[in-house]
Amino acid sequence: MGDEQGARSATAAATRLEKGSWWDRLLVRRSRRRAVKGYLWISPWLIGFLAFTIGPMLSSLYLSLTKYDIITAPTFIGLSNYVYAATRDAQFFPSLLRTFYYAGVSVPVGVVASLGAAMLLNQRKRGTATYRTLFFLPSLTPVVAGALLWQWIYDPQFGPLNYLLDKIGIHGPGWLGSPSWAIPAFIIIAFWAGIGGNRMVIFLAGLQGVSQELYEAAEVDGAGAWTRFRHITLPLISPTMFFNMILAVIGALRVFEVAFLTTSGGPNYATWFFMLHLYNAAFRDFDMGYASALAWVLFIITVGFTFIQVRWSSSWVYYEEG
Amino acid sequence: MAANGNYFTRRSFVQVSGAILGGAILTACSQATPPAPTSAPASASNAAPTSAPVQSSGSSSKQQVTIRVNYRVGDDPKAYEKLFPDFEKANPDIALKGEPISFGDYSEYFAKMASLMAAGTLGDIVWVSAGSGPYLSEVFKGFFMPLDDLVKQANYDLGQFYASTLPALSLEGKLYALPSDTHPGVQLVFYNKNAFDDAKVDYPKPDWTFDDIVAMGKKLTKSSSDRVDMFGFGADLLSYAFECIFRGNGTSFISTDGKTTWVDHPEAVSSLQWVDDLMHVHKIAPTRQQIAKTTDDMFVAGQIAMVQSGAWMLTSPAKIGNRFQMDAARMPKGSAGKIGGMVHIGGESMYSKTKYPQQAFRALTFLESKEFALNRAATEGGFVPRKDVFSDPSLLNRPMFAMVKQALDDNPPPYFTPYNFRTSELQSVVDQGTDVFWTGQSSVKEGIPKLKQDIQTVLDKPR
Repeated sequence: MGDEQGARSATAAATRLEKGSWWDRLLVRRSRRRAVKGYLWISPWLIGFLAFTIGPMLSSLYLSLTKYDIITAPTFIGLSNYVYAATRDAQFFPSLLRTFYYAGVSVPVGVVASLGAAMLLNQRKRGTATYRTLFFLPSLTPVVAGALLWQWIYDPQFGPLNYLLDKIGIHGPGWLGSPSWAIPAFIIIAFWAGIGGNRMVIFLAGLQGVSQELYEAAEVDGAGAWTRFRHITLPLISPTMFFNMILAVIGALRVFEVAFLTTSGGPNYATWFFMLHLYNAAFRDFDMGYASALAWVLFIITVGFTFIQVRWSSSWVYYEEG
Repeated sequence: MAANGNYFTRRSFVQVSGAILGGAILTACSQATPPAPTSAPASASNAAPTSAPVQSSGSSSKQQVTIRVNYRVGDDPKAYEKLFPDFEKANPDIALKGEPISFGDYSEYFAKMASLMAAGTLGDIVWVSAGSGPYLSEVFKGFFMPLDDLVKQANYDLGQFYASTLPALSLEGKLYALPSDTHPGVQLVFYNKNAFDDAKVDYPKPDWTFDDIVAMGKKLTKSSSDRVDMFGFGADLLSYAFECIFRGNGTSFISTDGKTTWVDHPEAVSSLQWVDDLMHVHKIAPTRQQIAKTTDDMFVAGQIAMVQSGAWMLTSPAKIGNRFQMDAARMPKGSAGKIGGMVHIGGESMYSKTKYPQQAFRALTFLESKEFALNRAATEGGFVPRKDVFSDPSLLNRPMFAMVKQALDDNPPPYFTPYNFRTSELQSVVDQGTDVFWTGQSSVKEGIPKLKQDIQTVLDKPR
């Protein structure tokens, strides 16, 4: 039916062009000009996207099939980089597992914390503006400054964290210097940096989109706070939560800066995440071909996780439009 | 024409854009051929070698050429170029153009250099690092010019440099850079004199031993409740620090040909065991978990009484201020009867594609001159390894510098370099792999086989 309609209007346009009045011819030319104008307006972004995102992605796909050290020409080696990663790179799977461990804990903790902060700010009580600023400040701190700050906080001998733990009778661990506590230390940093950032703002927008009438009606029916949260708030902000979770997983899989700045992947590879492994392959070993292969592996894993989340969302994400 | 009468459709736009992009990618991916090393004209000279900067012969063309100098940025980038006008006045046919490259991190500098190499826009003269970067790999791939013929032609005296610095900058018998920065490795011990005075411990003597370090360390370590307020000794837990101890005991991380690891040799194992015992037996050194950043930082903060470190600590008095006095000694002699050392070298190389090799070499000798070296030492802190520079009163009168000179006078051998040039990768494997000892996860004896395997895996990789 749609095709028939389209064909009819195409024929009509052609006829207008051929036989129509000057007014008809003007209209067809105008619509074409409008289309051209539209593309011209978005062309800066489109060209930038093609040149600086798609272009490099395609280049890196090709380079992942080569041996390439930047300073000499790439040599095609097929899938050797991928085979090496899967079979001979001692840190390929361990670095992936460490990254999954980090993401597996930091994402749910971070999302729940951001939701809690957003719900607190949604109360519209006295001091909300102050709390909002305090929550948001960590997300504005530059990564390097934050890393140095936490390196001081985590100082095992003289840092304030172990000092406070000592006061309550707990002997603090080595934190960044401890193989078993280094990743939990990073998770805490991620929690601090992420609780009040864009995730919280998005949750806040989602919460403010929930109609108050629903809460009032539920209250009238005798629903308590937890019931209202479980049966009204959660379902209605589920699209927001879904969006935040996807972004959180993508961000967590790319964990790099804090490890690079504070531990360089140590102690004993405890914080040698996948992105750090990729960075070292690229800029320590100058093995750009292999680094490109690792980048594509991470991309495929990220797409895979996103796909799983999208499929899973049909069972718990509720869209009001139906 | 589209169904709606539109001639300019989304599909056609995407097709045109894709064609443009595809053309751009093909152009960008056009292959750069590696540069072929150029050969400088050879001519022999029977006159005595000269240590002065090479001057124009007087018969060169009057046309001025620009020699681009890529150098790493120190604290004061312009200090490096301060004497450039003096050279240009004496050599009117050459204009020097300094191009500093950020040195916030080694990888940043070498990545930038690699980009310049790929683009074919490397400077005529380039700062390189023989130990910490891909220098020898880049030499192997033909990016730097051998200097032997230019040295012979100009009758340039290489004897003015510390002898051990030149092999580090050479490959297969050819010299590819002149040494520009050096220190003798992590074979110095900096100590807190106030802490020694408070504990009534004598300062380290030249003939002290590794057992003396332990004995002193026990007296200097101070604890309160379950926290250590001051550790007696801080060992540097990086590969180039262990290598100094290894060499004092007559061994090394890798064999002379750079193809096999010696980390399982008894001397190497005992060296690592000594470091491990400092932490877990004598408890005078911080474990990995107890080190916030580096042992150098802990020393400056007054948390360690003695620290194994290198010449970069000479600037620490400015950070320490009035809190305490510091001095330096050399590490004790090892079981091989010598103090282990490993010379770290930076150099100035010439790009193999330079259009003006003669002029570039003249500029290079200027950058290696005593006047330029003393200016660098006074401003941005680099030490050119010339014997006359290290003997100059302006440096010798600096606190603790005499110890650095003494160490360099011993001509410590060069940085350990694997046959496949994968020095950074090797360092990383050693640094990470030895952490199992310093965190207490494994004893040295149990962990050595895995460490050996990991190191050998790197050594077995191709060039």
